[in-house]
Amino acid sequence: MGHATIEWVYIAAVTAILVYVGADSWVAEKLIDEIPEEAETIKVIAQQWFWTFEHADGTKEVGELHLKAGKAYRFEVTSKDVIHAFNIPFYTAMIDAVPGRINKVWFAPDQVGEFLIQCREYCGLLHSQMRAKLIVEA
Amino acid sequence: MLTPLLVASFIPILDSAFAQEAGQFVNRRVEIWGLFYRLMAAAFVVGAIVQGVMVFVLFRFREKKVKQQEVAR
Repeated sequence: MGHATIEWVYIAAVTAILVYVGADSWVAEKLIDEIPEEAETIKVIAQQWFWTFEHADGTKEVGELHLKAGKAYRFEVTSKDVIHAFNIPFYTAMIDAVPGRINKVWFAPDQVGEFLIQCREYCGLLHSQMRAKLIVEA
Repeated sequence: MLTPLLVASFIPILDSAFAQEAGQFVNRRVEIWGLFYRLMAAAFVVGAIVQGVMVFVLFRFREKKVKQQEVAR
């Protein structure tokens, strides 16, 4: 075994693993970024320090969001003042709420119950209290 | 030596092609955490390879080894 052999084995193995990491991440990102066509749109408006949700039929909710299990929802997220971030930890959904911009994220709730909605971008004095309740119904 | 690993890197592409059935939604939660655990495993494997190579090189070229002493002389 020459002096350089171990280095080549090392480089090849690590490169192969990194190729796998890149391919796997690319595929997963492509899969989860694709919003289903039948997803219902919900407008999410963030402002210091509460959340407003507007359903497709025009009904509005403040601090609470009622969804149906088994349906897909597309969230169009924006902000009225500073930058916030819309996050539902249980459903691994997170996107920035930026004034003058509409960012999109989607998910299909599959479990009935109450879940946390929390701002994840520091937005001022009451950032930590900027929460809402996600209620998923059957 | 690279072939099996390169082939393995294409498996997720084939997986995703057959994953979604009509009328079912991708479970983002499962996909994202699954990816996290797979990448964590990959990171540990890379760490093990790096550590293993370091231990091997230190052992193979240790100063105490007679062959090394001959080379030094």
